[in-house]
Amino acid sequence: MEKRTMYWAVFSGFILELFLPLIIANYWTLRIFMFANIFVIFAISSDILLGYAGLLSFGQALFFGGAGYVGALLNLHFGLPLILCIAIGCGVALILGLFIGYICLRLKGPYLGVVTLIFPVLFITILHLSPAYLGGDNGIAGFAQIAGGSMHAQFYIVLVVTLASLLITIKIALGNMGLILKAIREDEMGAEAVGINATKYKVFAFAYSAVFGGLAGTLYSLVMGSVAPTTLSPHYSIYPIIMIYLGGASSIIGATIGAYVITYLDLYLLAFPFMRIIIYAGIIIVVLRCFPDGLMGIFKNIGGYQKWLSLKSKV
Amino acid sequence: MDILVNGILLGLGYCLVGVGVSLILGVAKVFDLAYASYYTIAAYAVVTLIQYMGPAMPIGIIFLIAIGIAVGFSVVTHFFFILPVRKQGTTVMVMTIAIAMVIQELLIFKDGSEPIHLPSILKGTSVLFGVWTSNQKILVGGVTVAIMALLWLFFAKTKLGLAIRATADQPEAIQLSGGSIRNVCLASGMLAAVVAGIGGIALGPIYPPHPYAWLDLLIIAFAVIVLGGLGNIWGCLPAGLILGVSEVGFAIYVPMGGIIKRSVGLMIILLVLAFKPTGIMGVKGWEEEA
Repeated sequence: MEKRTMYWAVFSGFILELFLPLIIANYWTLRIFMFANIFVIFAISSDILLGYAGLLSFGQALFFGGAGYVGALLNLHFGLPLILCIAIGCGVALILGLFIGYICLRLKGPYLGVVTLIFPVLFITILHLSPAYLGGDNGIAGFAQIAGGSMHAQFYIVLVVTLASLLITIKIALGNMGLILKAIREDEMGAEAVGINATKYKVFAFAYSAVFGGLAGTLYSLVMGSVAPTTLSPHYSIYPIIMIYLGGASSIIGATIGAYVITYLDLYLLAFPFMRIIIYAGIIIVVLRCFPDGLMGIFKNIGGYQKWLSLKSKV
Repeated sequence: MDILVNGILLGLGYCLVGVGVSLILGVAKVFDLAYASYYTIAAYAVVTLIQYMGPAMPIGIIFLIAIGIAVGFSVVTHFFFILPVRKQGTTVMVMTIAIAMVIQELLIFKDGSEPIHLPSILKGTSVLFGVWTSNQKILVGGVTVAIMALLWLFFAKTKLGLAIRATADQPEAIQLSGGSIRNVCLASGMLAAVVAGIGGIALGPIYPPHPYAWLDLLIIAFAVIVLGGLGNIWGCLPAGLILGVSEVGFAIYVPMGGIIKRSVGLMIILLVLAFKPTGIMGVKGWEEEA
């Protein structure tokens, strides 16, 4: 997709959502939009890692939940201001991302996925070491919420942060960096032969997804006002993967659409907790088998057919 | 002695978990993340069959049917979901983890998310080298040793074993000489599922299976195969033993070790990856080939 179309799509979506609270008075609908925006941050940051760099990590929940925990704990025990909590949460996620990236990049392809799957489990074990201080199984609550829990203020703060991260991610994905990451994904040896330090860029992709995953995680926990070990469960690692594959890998807009669709599905499937995961898994399997390019691929195809039908292209 | 006996018995159990993944990985060069689910499926099948058939059916036939069900799941997974996309490692992993989650939800739907109780095959305890252990654990150790021996025989003596070894070494050569990689991959998947079925039945009474158990099993399996060396099933035996002994030692000597002993596997993976990425008996440069 062209850069201009992408920016247009992002800005029109932003302006639409700017007026959303005036149209929708329903508290829950707004809240779902807010969570969808948080998941947009999470999904696009993972798209840089999975879609562009082609590194499959099943450990994104570590950044999401880990940063959420760090932010919440700092506020609860030390009373730090929230903006500082978010910054430190992202910093911790960055360190974790660099660390894991450095260790795991010795592994190729699928092995990376399984090793990263393990890290969130380790973090959950750490939480159990001190149930009184770290919450254990019950998670922690009682820390300050963003904007004191006011719905509209939270909505706008999250919206602005989402816009900023979308713009930064698009800039990176369509710039030099995205091109280099794609080159490494397609042919690592070839990329290295042209003088690209593949390891450096792969670690960058890890760190990038870690920072923005951490941003999403801190926002999530500080908006919710509580954080539980479920945010570290493999389901939260798999959410961004579903979103990316549903929307179409290595297209930031696709991941955004995927995040909205999945968050909405989540709302409607809340009544059937048992069906939820089966439906998600079904979506993944069908999309991977039948539409490897996801929703964006389908859109692109529609455009192709129209052109073909009206013969507007040079014949 | 305490640590050694318990650790070795535990390690043999771990080896049983790791060997199947190593088998699929070595031959088909794919990661079947749904593999650990076959253990839980076999255990659940046994419980369900005992519940409905009860004493009318001999326990041996129940075990056979349970193993058959695990093999059936494996064949369906491999045939419909893994083989068509065998070349794309990422797709296979996302797909199989989705399958594992579907199986998890189906098991929750069936029996709830609590662990189920599987009857022990051998009851009671006995003294082994001056240490009290349950008979079931000794049985698991024996089963593991027997399975490793049978696998060795299978690979050394039978034609299918030869075909599997050849596919693991040189897939193109197998195709050139008229063999079918698909069938060999399917066969190795079935073999691994048989191991998983036996393992699920033998380990079930010691570690009560629950719908989320696949993740723990997967981590154990991966620790075993990373330590033992990717693509070499014989490395699983020493790796499992090291893992088991160090885990038991950790639980006894380190303060709060009982809680962190689960992450011993992870620490071992990290150390191995940092210092000797090929593992104990790994083939160098194996993952580049894959």
